[in-house]
Amino acid sequence: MLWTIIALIILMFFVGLAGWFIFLWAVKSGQFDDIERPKHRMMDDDS
Amino acid sequence: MTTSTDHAVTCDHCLLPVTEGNAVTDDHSSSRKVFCCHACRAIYRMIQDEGLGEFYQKRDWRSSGIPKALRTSGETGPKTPREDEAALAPFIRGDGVVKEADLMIDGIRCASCVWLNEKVLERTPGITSARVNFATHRAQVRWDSSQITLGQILSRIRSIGYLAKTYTPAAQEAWLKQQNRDLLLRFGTASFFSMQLMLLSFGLYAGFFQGIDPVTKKWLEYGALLVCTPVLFYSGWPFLKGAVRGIRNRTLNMDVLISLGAFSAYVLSICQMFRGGEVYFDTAAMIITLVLLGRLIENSAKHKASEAVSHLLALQPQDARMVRGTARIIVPATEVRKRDLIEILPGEKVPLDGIVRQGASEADESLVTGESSPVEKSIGSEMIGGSLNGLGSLIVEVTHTGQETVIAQIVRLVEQAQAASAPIQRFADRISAYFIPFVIAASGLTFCYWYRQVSASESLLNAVSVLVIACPCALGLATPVAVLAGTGSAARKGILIKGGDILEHLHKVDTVVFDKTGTLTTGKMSVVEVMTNQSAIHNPQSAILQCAASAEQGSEHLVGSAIVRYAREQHVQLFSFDAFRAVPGQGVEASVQGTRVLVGTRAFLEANGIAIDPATAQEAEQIGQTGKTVVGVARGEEFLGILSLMDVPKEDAKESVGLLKRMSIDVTMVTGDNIRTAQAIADQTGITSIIAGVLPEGKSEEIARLRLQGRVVAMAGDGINDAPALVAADIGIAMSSGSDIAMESADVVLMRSDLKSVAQTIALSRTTFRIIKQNLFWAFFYNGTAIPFAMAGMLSPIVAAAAMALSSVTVMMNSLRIR
Repeated sequence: MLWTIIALIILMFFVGLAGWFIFLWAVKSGQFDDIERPKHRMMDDDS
Repeated sequence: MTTSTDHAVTCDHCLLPVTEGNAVTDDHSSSRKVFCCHACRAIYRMIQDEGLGEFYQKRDWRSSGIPKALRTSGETGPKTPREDEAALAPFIRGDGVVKEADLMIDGIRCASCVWLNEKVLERTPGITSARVNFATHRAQVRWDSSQITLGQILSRIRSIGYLAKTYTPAAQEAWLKQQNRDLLLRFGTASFFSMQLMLLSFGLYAGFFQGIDPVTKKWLEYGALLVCTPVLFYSGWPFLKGAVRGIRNRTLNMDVLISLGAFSAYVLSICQMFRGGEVYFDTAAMIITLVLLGRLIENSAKHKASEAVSHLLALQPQDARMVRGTARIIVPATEVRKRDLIEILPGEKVPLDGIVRQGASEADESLVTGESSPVEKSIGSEMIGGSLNGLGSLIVEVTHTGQETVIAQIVRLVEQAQAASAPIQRFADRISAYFIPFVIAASGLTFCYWYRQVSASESLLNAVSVLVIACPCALGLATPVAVLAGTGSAARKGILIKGGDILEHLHKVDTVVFDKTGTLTTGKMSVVEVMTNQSAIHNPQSAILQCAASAEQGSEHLVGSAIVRYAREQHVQLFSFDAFRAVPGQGVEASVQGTRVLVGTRAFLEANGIAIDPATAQEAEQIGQTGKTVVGVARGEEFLGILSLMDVPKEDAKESVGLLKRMSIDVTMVTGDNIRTAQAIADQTGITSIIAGVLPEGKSEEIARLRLQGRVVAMAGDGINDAPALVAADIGIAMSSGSDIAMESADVVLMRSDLKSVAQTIALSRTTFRIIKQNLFWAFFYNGTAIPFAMAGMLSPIVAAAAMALSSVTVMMNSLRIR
């Protein structure tokens, strides 16, 4: 029982870790650099 | 500049190579010191006299944040190749031998860095002046190009351990972006690991109440330690660094409080882990995460400000049409030199400042000066870059290029004003200044008390517990959440507030300055009166309007379009026209239904042989006195009457002024127009204090003058020329109907053309500030009440967690009250 729980905790840690890596990638590739403009871009005629 | 030779030694202060012949020596108790200049010797002496000689052992300029590439260039002296000088050329202003450039200096940490940079630069031969701004890390350097080059100046700055780059808005933006990314990375990491940590901590909480198998507890604690470490040492790094700096400067700031709490919780927990006690890793991690969240919220609202400048520069067209004999060639505006001739076609934007040499037209300078009516241009008139040419084509001789144009000067004014408004000391910081010594005293007291009762390690543990529990983690949220709620509520009302500190500032505002044109008034001419010629009673008012509007249909002049608009509103039927001719600044002539119709100034009509009866002329004169624009209308040879137009106040102007006055705020109007026009508007809106006849550059001076009187000034405006004033004021409020630049330089943007928003904004800020104060109280209250538990040695992780959660929730709920 105890080992199941510990294994699950560790498993979830790695699932979370995957999320963290995606976050790191997103920040480094500039996904968060401009959070204003993209939502207005569809309104522009010329792009 | 001195280069290293075989006999070179290095200066003991600044490490610059210096030839023995040029060296300045000074005998000290320990040894003989060599300096490159007297300044270095003076600084060295000063440092020694202050008893800070350790500085020279401790400093490590060769490794602290200076990239390797620079290190080598710094050591080997200036080696700037010719190409580099060419690459630097666009950043240099000024002709003749004296040049000027803006630099960005990386690595400035304290006021003494500024001082050092200024002194070193000013004593470098060839540099005439150097000013470094601490807040923006920017330096303005002026030098004699016959003695030194910009490349050499850059190397000089590198040699004293700072990284200098030429300043461009793009570089500034990149720097800001980097800062934002860094914060986001730290926060993201902190929140990820804190989530993992809370998972484990809940297990430990349950274990505390229900009992837990020691092996499981151990496992959970190891896990908690594992995930807590990166939060403290990666995410919390800026705080730890700030705390060390704060302690060195002997100031107890927020960073000290945060670091003290988080770090002591961490160390205490590690000790407890091995002693089998309770751990507090979650407290350590939560403090850091919550404070980072607070900073992130603050930052994201703020970072737009630096875009202002790039927008302003975008106003000027990139190309100019240069005159070469009879040919016209299109060249980039940057290649145009002074005294070149450029052609500007009707409706084109003027690329550079200049003087009209040929042709006549009018120019719409409203973008630059805010002046709503077009300005007449003839030979000898000055044109401002960025303004819009009217109906005539012009040949203009360029008088100012690059950094000297009016727009570039406004850009500089905006930047200077931005740099001048120093950030206020945060309110929480002031509280911490009292709170921290109290906490440290309480902790010391706890240690002394328990030392007598129990063992040393036990009492130390209790003392550290006091530090842990005392750190209010809701403190990091107290301000930002209230500000977020405040700005959110403002946004629903159509008020955009850029940043929390602005909301904080707003509540202190006691003077609101309104720009007249476009802010208090509609900014458009409207027909306010139609008067028929008294000797021609058979002309009903609509007939005059019909004539005038029909003729003016061809006009793009403001007055013309106002007349046409008014006629349409009055449902006057317009006739077609032909043979349209506009005389800039005077009037128009057109043929309507075969009859000649003239609309224009008195002089224009008289010049075309129309007789105006003295009674009407006198009346027109009187109307003109009240600040209105008067145009006469004639059909054929007959004078029909006059139309008077003016820029009318917005409908809600009077009400808004009343609202502000009721909040005991002084209202002032500032305008470039003459006092007559200004007085007319002031009378209609109930404003008693007027500053009229102010030049565009003068507005920011007027604001500065008001601020000198100890007032907290909010400026509401919309033109580009208002931009410096908007920044110079404590709070700049821009109307969204105004220019982009005004909106970008403002702190507050009103999305609705509703002047009542100004009063609403200030009222909202007052509410928010009250909430912030309450929040800070609650943030400290729970943690403060938990201190006695800790002092009594009864601190359990549950008390810590409860104090943390309660204070955070209270702060959140309290902030939601802002509606």
